[in-house]
Amino acid sequence: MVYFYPIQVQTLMMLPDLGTVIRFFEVFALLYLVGINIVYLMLSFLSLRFILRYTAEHEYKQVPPVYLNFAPAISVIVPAYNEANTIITSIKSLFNLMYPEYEIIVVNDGSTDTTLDVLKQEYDLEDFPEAYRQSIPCELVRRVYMSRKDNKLRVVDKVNGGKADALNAGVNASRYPLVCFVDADSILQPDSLIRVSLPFMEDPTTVATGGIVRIVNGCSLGEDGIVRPGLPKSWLALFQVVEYLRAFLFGRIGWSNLNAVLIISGAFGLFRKDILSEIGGFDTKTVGEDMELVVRLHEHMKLANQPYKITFVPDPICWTEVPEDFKNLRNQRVRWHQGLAESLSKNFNLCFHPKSGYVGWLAFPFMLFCELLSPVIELVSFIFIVIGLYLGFVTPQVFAAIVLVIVGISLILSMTTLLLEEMSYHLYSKPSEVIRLVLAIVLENIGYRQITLYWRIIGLLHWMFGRREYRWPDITRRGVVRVTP
Amino acid sequence: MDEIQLSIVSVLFTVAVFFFLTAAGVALTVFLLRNRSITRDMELQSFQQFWVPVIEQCFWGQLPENLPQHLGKQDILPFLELWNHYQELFGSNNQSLNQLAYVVKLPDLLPELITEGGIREKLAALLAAGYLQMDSLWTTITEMCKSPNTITSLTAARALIHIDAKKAVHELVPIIENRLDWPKSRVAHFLLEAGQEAVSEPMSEAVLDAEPMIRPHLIRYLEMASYEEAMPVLKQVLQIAADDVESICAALFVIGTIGRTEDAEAIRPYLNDQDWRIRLRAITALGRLGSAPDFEVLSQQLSHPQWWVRYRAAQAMAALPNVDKSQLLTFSKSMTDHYGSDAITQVMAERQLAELA
Repeated sequence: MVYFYPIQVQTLMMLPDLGTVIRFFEVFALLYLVGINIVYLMLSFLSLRFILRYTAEHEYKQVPPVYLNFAPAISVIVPAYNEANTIITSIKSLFNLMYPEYEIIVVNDGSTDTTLDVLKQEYDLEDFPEAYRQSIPCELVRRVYMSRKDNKLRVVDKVNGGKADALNAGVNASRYPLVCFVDADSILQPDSLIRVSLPFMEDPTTVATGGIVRIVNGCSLGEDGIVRPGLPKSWLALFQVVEYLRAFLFGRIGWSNLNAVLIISGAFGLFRKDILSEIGGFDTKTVGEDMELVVRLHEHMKLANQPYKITFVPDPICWTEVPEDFKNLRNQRVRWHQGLAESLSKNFNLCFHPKSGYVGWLAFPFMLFCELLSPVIELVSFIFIVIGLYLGFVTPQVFAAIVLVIVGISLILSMTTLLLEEMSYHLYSKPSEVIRLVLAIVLENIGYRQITLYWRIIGLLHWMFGRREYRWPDITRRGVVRVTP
Repeated sequence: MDEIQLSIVSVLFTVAVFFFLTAAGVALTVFLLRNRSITRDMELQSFQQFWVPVIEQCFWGQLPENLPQHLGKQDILPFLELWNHYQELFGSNNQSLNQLAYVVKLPDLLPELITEGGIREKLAALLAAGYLQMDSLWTTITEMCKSPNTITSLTAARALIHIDAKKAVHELVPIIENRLDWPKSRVAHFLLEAGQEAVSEPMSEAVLDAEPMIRPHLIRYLEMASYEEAMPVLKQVLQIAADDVESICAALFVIGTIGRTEDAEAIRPYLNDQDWRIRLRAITALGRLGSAPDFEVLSQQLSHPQWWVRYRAAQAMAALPNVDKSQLLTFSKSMTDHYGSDAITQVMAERQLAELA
């Protein structure tokens, strides 16, 4: 103890005073947030360049018929757990796909509701004695059914093992060289499959592609999918429309330019089956199986020095329902952030690896510092600034100026997304819809962003302290409203 | 606040105002673009109102009178795509549609679109040049076959086939050898369009002269050649490429597809090959060309460790002439190996469902 006392005094004397610490965080927070947004702006310029070139080459409204002749056969895999409300709508949209050769495999992952009964009734399923082969380990497959109405559809009924496990069972049952994963609540357009498969036809090194996921809440639906895109009435869903636009239109497309996409949404992604089997399929010990798979795919290909491409298609080809209540939204966001943490930590070898290229030197560190850790950094900085304000180290004018700069740059960023959308797909055609989107961009800064930041921190804590349930997300689907044809 | 703090605050406020104004500027641009897009949609609508009925009339063999003598710049691409679409529907060169193309001076526009246009213009113009059999663009289109873009190069190849099938296949065979990115189904499709007469000789020669690496790739296209020309070449391949698994597999596949019952003899030795891929091809081919006595030799394959070999053997057994459901069922029940009986059960169920459909 005698020796410790002077050291403690010395240490205390060397510590900076609280005012300096707070001023440091003030500057740090400002630089960090401006820095992140500048990176996002750079990504948005990359995306802008790409989208303009892409839309000139592949007009949104029409895929040149010539492409249909090049299409490779695809197995569409739909994992389902307690999806009795949405599964039929989703499968109907799959039957409407304009694609020369494909099969649909629904994997019922031990649902406790009437999912299997609904499927049996609607599609007249017959017990099919398939000599099922298990190339990727998964839980026991109880039965395989085939539809009497259309033998394009098979249903794999298995013991519950989680979403990743269901996807692996689907891969085992698939017959074609490309496998497409579609969430049971996703709605596809007739040309979705042809659009997402274009990169495979244009570049033989393509191993995976994903597409933009748009929000179905507020859209008018018909037998062939989306009849007219629209915006949801609920402001909570509207904020998510803005978020999705930001995440997909320049987040993923920007990275796609550099062949550094780290996420292909589980809602809709297309993969080469042989590579998928080679890397052992989906990891069943993560809640973010979609992202983990793509990061592992990068790691596998990069470290093996194999030429490959993971491409993001900017067309709006998949529509999904988003939560319109806080409970479900919270669950979703907590899972997403936990999944992000798991995906990055499990494949940390990729980060700054000499062979990893843009993925390991740019995209991975960006995801780590600007996505995974950002809620913590933002929260700590905010707390210090508020303490500083309370203790008088930070004047209200400085505080207000910092907040205005941060809000200003985030407004530019979100408006640029809207500009990208307008220059490319302009799905929301009514001027009143554009006005609502502009309003949502402004209003999301008051409350919504802060609450999602809090949920992301919870997700990070779940990852850190081992609250891991590798099962299906606990999200209640309302079921989309259909318009009368 | 001291002076330094004041100046920091004023700089920050200025930056914030600049950001807010920029965001407002971007929002304004969005509204202006929305307006422009509405105008563009109206233009496209009026294009369709005029041209769709005209092209439909031509499709049915009637060229309307008083047509415009040229196309407006913004109408060129929509016109080309609409015109190509109807040519594709017709299946071969539609004379009235070709006349219409000459009336609006489409052939004059194609060279520039092919060399200078964006990807969509290029593809549409290449297809149109093919339908119009524009021999004058032969050299340009041949060059396009070497384009690194797979779709562009394949569309160019197809255009050449439309212009002069025989000359095109001679030109394309060396390119096919080197274009491993060209999907086989697409190459097969345009070779099919070219016809057996055009394909047989150049492809047979190419298979026999090809390097071992390229040969399997070319053998598959003998499917599009005439039986008389292709079969001796395929049997020759089985002799000269005895150690080349890929070539043997490809040759067995094509024999199975175009062969006749008498060719089954060439396949049987491969049923017991060490390499399961060769075995698989031989089984599939025998399913098509074999006869009832082959049932027993195929049934021996049901105990092979490879799932695909078992599955294909079961399919082949079911496909043999004079083999019916009851015979398969009896055989399946007599089996002690459940892997083999599983394969037969699956194939029987598949056939039953196919019959129902």
